Amino acid sequence: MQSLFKLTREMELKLHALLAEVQELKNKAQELEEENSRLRKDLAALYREGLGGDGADSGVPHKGFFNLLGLYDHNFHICNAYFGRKRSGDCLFCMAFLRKEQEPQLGSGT
Amino acid sequence: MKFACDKESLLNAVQIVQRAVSLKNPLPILGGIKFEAEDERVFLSATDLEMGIRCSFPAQVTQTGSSILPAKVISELIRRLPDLPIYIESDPLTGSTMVKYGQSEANINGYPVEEFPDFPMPESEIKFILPGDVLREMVRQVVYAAATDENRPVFTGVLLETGNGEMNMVATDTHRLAWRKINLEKYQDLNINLIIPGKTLNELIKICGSAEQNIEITVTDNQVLFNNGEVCLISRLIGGQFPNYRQVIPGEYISRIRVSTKELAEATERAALLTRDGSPIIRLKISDNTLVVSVNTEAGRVREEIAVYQEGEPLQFAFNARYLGDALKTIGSEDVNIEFTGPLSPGILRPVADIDYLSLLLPVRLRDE
Repeated sequence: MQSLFKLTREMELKLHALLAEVQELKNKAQELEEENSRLRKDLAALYREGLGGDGADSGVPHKGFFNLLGLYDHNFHICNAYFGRKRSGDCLFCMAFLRKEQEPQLGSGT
Repeated sequence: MKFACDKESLLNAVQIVQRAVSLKNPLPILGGIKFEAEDERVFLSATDLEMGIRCSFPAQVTQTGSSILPAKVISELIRRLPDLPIYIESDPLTGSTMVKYGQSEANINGYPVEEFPDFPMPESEIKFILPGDVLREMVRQVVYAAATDENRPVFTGVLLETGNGEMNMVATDTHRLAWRKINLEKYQDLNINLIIPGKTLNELIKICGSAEQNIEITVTDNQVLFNNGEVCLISRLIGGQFPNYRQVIPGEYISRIRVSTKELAEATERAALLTRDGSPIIRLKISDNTLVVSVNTEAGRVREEIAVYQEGEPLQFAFNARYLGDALKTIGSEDVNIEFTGPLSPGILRPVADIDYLSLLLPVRLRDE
């Protein structure tokens, strides 16, 4: 009986250790998620800065637009809903955003 | 619980609630159907915790009570029963239920009643009524565009918004979008904005939607209830903000064709047969009032010509055949208008003479273009 008790006790300890490990992993995952969303926000802010900067009134598509286009062509979302996330296939919202960015320049160019 | 009923009404009720049964859920009790007998009616309910269905039918109740029976067993058994009156009697102590038919009987072991999750009917002041067929058609026309990828929960749902005496339903998986509007003149002051899981709406259109039945929709903070008097379907709502869908609908078109919906749908289906797996891309070329649908792959070639009415510039583009086929199936009119506004814009499919429905489809960008 004692050995059975010992075994269950050992098992309990192992489970506790496992639980602690899971908790640690959970914390780590949360940290990473927070960092990821912070980085995504930073990236969005940088692009916004780029968009508002040089070339905005000159009638030529500015650097920010090409950066966004590049990002989109590298299979990342550039729309508000999923900015910076991997995309598969074309996205209606990203395309609408690109169209909106492109149209003023087209309008002033013609 | 003790009651007698006919096979048909029992089978019908079981088949309806079975749609909410979750066989994959780790909680075994969710694989069960709850039977409750009271006031000359038997109520059946099932839930997977996301969606719940409750349905009732008249029966001769001799003893009130309830029991939970495994959905798979009870539905298969009832389906195979002879067309005779059926007597059902459950033992509250053991949870076992006896099904008597003619001179025979079957005993089914059930689950403990107290373990079944609570099934409260959502109550709220926010209610409105729609004719069953209107709601069903509206859902059918948009729900196909909702995403199935659970990583993006907002897009797995259908946005239902009301305001100014109108109701809009929108679904998108970011590659395509479907939008339907109806007048809601009776409810000028109703302002709601909710995202209902597409899965729930797919079940809703299967269980209710006849023209004679009105469906009452009750909305709370996190649930919605559809009730047609016989069947109640409760669903959780998807949290989060649905993206501004109006910004993706393009304005003035540069080119437009009017084509027979059936002809284009059939040509699309035939052409799709020769597309590569995982890339069902078909090419469409519009010029001189003719639409050419073509596919050229290792599997072979298809080229179909369809006479169209064309306005604007000649065009050449490619569509995902499955998406185009889905959109054409829900158009609901003999002819369809397809509009194009530019290379970065989605094609707009509209039924001819109906401005309250549209479906957007992004053209596929081909590498050699």
